[in-house]
Amino acid sequence: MVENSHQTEASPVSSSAAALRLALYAALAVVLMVTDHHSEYLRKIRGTLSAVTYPMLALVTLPGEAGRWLGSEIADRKVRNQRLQELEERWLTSQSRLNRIAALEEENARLRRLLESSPRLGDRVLVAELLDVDLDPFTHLVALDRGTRDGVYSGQPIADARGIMGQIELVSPISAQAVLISDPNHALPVTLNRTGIRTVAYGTGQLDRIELRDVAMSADVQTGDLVVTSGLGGRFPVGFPVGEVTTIESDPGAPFRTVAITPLAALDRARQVLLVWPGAAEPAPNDPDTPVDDAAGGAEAPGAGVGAP
Amino acid sequence: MTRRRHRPAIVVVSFLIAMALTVMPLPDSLTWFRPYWVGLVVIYWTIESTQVMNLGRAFAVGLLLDLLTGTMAGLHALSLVVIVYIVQRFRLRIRFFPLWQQALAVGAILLNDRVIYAWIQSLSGSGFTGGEILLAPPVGVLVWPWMFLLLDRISQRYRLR
Repeated sequence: MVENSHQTEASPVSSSAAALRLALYAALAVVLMVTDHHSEYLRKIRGTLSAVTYPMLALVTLPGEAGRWLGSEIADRKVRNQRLQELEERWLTSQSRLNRIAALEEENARLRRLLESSPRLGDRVLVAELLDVDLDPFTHLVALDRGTRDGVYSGQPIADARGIMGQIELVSPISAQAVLISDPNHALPVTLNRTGIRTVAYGTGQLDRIELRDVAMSADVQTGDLVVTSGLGGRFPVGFPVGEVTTIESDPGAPFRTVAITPLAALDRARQVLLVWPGAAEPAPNDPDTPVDDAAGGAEAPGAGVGAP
Repeated sequence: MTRRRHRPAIVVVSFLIAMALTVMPLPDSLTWFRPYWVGLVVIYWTIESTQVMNLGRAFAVGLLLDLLTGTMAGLHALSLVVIVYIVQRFRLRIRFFPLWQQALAVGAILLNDRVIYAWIQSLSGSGFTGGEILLAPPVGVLVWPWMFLLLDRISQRYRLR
């Protein structure tokens, strides 16, 4: 093989042999791509194998992390105290709000029992670190430092403090890749919070814009409306904030309006994300170091969702 | 001349560095300017020696790159196999080009590669068909002479005799 390619320019026989080899490899690559695109099976294998390349991703994040660590080490004591105080204040306000929500949740569960409908369960969450790496520029993928050993599964929703970010696509034992809601291949079942209109939000390839493409001309939509997940499809939890309506484009000739939404989650800036197990257990083991294997078994079924293909 | 033998470690390290550069975080505005590092290194080794690079190895490197960047299995494998095939065909000519002419040839190969790559991406449903894909090859042309000189220096020092 080596000998042949050495003589490619000289002999027509070996050049056609090289062309044949090219055709074989190209065909193999195409078969792989088609299989990967259409079957869940190859994707699972790819997910597991991506553990091999994880050390490389982790290595690349080291300089940035070292810089951040150094920055926090040499940060002024005064600045740090100020920051601490700020965080404590914010913690207090959100804690008091949480207490009120806990009361409301209980009331909601009681009312639902009265209506004889099934109560909504709380979601279990786990904090994951986003790796500071760029993956393929054609897709909006991010890498996480949690894998199947933490109970992460393919199709699992991820969110940050403000809203839904995306869902897990590939999982290896120690890492995962998630596709963001802004990826052009991603679709997210949503509801307009004010009016209850159910529709689907599609990614556009821009980090600051997702779109509703099938909102009826007569539908009641206003800029500033909050868009939340509808939970239809069973993949995402119900009522997580997604974004706010920014512009409503109505073309008189088109049957539907296009509504642009700005995602609330910091898709390009988030450092830490929440892995969500929709309706898993009530008390969330917020401590990232808590082993969570037992509860993950129940959440393993992703359900048929309207998600990324 | 083509019987040069290289230390496998140098080859492996050059690919590891290229892959690290591929996923190195860049500001969003620069994403599309990132040169195809692994492609450049593959071209270098194909020109440099017939023993280091061949279609099979290019395929393997491509699969690894697919794993790393989360692209469909086979996408980068196809891209690198095509690159190696073209370079192999014109190897003896490209080898003796002056550096700037070599850079232009590399640019043409990279451009061809990006067009195929973007076409496959659009077939699989990604919404990118814009001119962004044409931004990386010129950067590759600018990078090539420096990368060539650097790799040449290193590989000459560590060549097996």
